[in-house]
Amino acid sequence: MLAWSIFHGAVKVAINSDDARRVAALAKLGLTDDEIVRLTADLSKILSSFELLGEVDGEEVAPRLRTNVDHTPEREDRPVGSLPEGKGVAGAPDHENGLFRVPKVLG
Amino acid sequence: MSGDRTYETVIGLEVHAHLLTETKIFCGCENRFGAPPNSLVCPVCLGMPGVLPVLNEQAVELAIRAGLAFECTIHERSIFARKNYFYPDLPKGYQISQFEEPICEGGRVPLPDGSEVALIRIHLEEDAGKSFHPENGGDHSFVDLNRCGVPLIEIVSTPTIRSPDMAYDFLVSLKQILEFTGISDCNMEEGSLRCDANVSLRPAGEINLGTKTELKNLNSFRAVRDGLKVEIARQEKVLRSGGEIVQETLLWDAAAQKVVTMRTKEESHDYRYFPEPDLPPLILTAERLEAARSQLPELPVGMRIRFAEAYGLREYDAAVLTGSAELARFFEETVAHFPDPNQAANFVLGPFLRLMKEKNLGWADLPITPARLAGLLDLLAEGSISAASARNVLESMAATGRDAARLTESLGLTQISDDGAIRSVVREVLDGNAPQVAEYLAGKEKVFGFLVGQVMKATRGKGNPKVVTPIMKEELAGRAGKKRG
Repeated sequence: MLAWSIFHGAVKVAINSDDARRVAALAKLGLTDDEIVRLTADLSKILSSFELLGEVDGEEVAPRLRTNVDHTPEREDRPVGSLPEGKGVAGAPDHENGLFRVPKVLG
Repeated sequence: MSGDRTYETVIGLEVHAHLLTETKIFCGCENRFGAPPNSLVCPVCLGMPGVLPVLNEQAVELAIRAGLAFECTIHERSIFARKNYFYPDLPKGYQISQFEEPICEGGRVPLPDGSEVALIRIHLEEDAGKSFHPENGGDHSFVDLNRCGVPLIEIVSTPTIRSPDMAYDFLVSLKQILEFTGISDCNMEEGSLRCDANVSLRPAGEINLGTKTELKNLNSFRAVRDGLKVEIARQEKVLRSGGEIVQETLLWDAAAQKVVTMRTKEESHDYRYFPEPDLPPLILTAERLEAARSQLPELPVGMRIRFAEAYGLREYDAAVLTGSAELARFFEETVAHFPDPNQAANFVLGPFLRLMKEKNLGWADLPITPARLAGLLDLLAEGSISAASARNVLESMAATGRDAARLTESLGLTQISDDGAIRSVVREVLDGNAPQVAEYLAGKEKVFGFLVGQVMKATRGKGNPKVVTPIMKEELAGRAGKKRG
């Protein structure tokens, strides 16, 4: 689990073109070989920026994702309304009879 | 060699249950089935940029209640996680779920035979939208996001279920508890309760688990049982012929009664879970847990025991009456109006349930109220109507919602219990059936039933058998005396 490891700041991250292809496949992105080369370099650069965090001595600090809130607020279970009908799909590239229309997917 | 082995079945179930809240888990859109597509959506559940989820307190309450009902360890601290995958019914590109540190761990589901299935965990998460793949849809699928963000609990069993029948019993018991506690309505047709099954075989005595397959698209408890039976037979055949099981996800095709490969391990998801940065940890106070504990509704097992003890019912009757929350409630309200629980149980479990099934009646709009049913039972108990007439009245009650006394009168079903009236009919019948009377008096006692039947015929079923029988005996005895005299 790549991302989780980064949060713990312990693992040195390296990404190769196979990693980039796998991530692209999970994201259902069809990328050309050229794009893979470019994105591998970009992703490596981005991830290595995070590696800077590994230089901080966090040994004594418990993992923490935020600094200002200790516990999640909760809201009352009361409906506050939704978007007017039709508005939800209005911005979609394609819709029909109130439904989003997307390329055929199965599974 | 593998052909002689016996195999042990190992089944683990994952059950998703919609929570009975008014609104979705992270936004104020209504949690309601059947609305026009994409009419219960807002920027939060549509996954628009810049929005933040805010947790629904009632979803948390119901998850706590589930933890109590299934005797889990409920953690004071749990965290949410993002489960990342890309599919059109998941607009954010991730589902907010719980991965490490779920709200509940451990727990158990009791089975009817007194055994139990241990649980691994129960966690909170949001549902995804619904995709449609119509046959005439050409190259397109369609997506309704009303269900996106509906609160769920996922209940994960340990892999300790040993047969499809045991899986079935597990689900029945689980559903019963969820319904009794008001956690979920468990409506499988509406997708409120969904189940996936992991199944593998291993040689009897082996400790390590065999390669498992995951069975999806199990739309009913029967589908779970049937699907598992077919998949177990398939795996056994593969293993006996020396083959290997491929780890894969299978879809159950109920119409064809077979499993179809959905995806193999190579294509399986890598969800890249990580802690949800938009939601701080969920912290439950001891006071909150205590309050939930004190408000936990009665569970089915406890209610079954109470029904048997408090009402003096047979264990079987108590079990059937507590088989569903609605039926149990209906029965309790009926006996609040009618003093004989056993008689009420007989009628409810007999003619009443039969009628519900025959007429396909639902609890929500049932015109037969417990008070009206009690009124009918009163008439039956005091002998004002016969058992056969009571069934007719019940049917009319279901159709009209009118009370028993009025229906009995308007249908002309009031039973004749008047001694004088019955006696005169009995005499007419005996006079008109001299050969049969002679047979009876000669010792052929079977004829008695025929003679009573003639009285019922003459009174068009309204003669009260409790009155007819002794009078018939008296009259026959009188004739025997005359004959001898």
